[in-house]
Amino acid sequence: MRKLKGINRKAAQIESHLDELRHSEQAGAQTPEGEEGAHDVVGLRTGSPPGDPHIPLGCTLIFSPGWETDASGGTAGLCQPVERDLFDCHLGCFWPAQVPDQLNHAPDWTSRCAAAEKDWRNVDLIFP
Amino acid sequence: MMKPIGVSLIAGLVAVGAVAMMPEAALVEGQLREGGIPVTNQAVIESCAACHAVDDQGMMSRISYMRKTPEGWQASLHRMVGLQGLQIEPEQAQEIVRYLSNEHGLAPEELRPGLWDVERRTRADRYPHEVTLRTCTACHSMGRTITQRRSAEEWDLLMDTHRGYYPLIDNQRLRSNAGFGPSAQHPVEEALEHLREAYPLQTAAWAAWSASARTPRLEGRWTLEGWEPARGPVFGTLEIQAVAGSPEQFTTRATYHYPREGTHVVREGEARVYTGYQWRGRSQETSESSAPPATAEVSASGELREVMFLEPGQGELHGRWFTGAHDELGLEVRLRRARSDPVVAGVYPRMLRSGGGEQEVRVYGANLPESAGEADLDLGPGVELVTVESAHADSLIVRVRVEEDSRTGHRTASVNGATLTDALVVFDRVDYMKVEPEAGMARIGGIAMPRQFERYEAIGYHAGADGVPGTELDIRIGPLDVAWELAEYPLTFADDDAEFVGTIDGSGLFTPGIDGPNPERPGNRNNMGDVWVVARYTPPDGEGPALEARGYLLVTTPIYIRWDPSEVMEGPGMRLLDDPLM
Repeated sequence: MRKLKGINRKAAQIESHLDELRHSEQAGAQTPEGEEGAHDVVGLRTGSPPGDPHIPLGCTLIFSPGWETDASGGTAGLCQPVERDLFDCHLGCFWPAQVPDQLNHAPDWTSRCAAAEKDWRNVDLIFP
Repeated sequence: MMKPIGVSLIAGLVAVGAVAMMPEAALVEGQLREGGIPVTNQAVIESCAACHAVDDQGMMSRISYMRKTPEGWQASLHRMVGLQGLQIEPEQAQEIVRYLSNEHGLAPEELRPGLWDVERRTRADRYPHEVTLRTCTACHSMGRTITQRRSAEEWDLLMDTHRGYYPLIDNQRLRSNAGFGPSAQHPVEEALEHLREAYPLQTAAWAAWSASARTPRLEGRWTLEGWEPARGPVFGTLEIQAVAGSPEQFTTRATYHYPREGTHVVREGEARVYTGYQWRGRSQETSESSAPPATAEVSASGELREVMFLEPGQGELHGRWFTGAHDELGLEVRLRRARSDPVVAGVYPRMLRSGGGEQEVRVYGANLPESAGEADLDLGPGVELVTVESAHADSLIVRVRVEEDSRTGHRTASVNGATLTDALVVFDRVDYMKVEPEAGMARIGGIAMPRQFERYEAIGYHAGADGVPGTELDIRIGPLDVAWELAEYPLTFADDDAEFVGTIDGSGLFTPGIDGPNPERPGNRNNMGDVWVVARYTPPDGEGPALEARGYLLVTTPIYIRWDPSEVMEGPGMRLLDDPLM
């Protein structure tokens, strides 16, 4: 990257932003205490310099890592709360070994549960 | 858990359609070329022939071209009942599982690498063929895969079955890392190529085993030696009796005790042996058992499943007894046949510090000499027998003194020529500790879904002759009495997992937090997280330095569907058959 030179204004903006990041990293800068909101959304793992894009709390996007862990092997990037994603997994049959699929094994799994995030107590453990 | 939908959805559906349209006769003809296993059992033919075509050589489509564990066959049967409308009586189901496990089963050497799966051990999946690993373990363990043998065409059909039941999988994990361009092979194809090669239907191991396998005669007395994490060693005996008229069935009575706790357990059970070596049993604690201590509230008690492997010599059974509802709670067990000769099953305590003064040691076994004197017993170099305090056929209580300059290492125990290697370990100091499991996993639960516990142990090591820890000269001493606590494993900004994930008690048992969104956490996160499990060891009498070690713990999401075919917890209308595995 260092051998490439930006040729337009946008590239220059990115470069100066990256320079800032690099400097602040070298200085060991951390988010100042009390700056609420700067990182109120939990991202993936540490090591990411301040100013990185906010990964939304929730699905692990395209990494599609595993049911138990995210791409980094931890839980920080998992869909949380998991109840929020249950219906989607059920309807899409996405995690067929972990969540009952509506296509074959448990078509009525969510019938007593209008919104998983509220009624999650009503879903049953399924023994196919 | 976001779902990238790819264009190959249509391709996938076309593939499923193509298979569905393949005439049954052509299917059978294709499979025949690989030499299937003819089905001669009336129960299988009666129940399955409505869908599975039988040819004039007795081959049934699909069934004749695969071999599996009893659990595997039972899972298939469950699926036929649940999804294909099969109606079947429990006795008939039991007979089908029995027949198919025996005649379309696995040879002992074929099952051995996958034993951990049927024994329900949590374990990190490691497998040399990376693409196959990634493809299969997207949803289930590799254990499911490697405990099956299929003809080449049958492996392809298995994939088609997956696609038929779960039409989106091609666009999900099975698609991950698929390349583009003319030479890019779909990972599923690559995995299938490997499976066809590595797990064929016909193997030398199966040919040899199926020719010689007989129902084993197991009745008699066996010594039992085991280990339950967090509760320590167990020693005892198991009496096996044959069930008249049913050679593959047995009844059992086990009597064992936990010397560390001073409690004893009596269990009675029933078992069945499949394929000539696969023990599947179930036992109940009787009222003769002593009450377990309060610290053992969460432990392998009550009803236990027994999954054991009979070594081909038929003198040793080993495996795991676990609760079923909580596979993670269980005992490691090893049984040795006791005829009339003495058998040494184990020694307690197993770890003896050199120069530590006189101490009591018990030797467990069967047919031990009741008039044993010091000359009958040998616990290895440096372990001096002071006196035999009491001698019974199943245990000797002796007093020993370990000499100051004894060499650190394992010792063989010997009673009148009956020996047990690695029966005890002599050590002068503990150089370092390791927490086991190095990486553990628990699942939140307790409200809507069951929780999954985890149990930790701190294993002491001696640095060995070179004095350098971490080399192959190191000597594993054994589990130490330590203090446990959880510590944060910082992964994110303001990581606060350790406050929420759960608690660890003095025995190393981790109990996870409850399931459901937690309003006290930012974003209503669950009580999931990554933490360190820290063990602190203070040597008795200040001998040597205090030690610290840590293991990783992943506290993660519940699973909402349990495929384990031997599961019998009552779910709402989900239990379809009486469990043919007993």
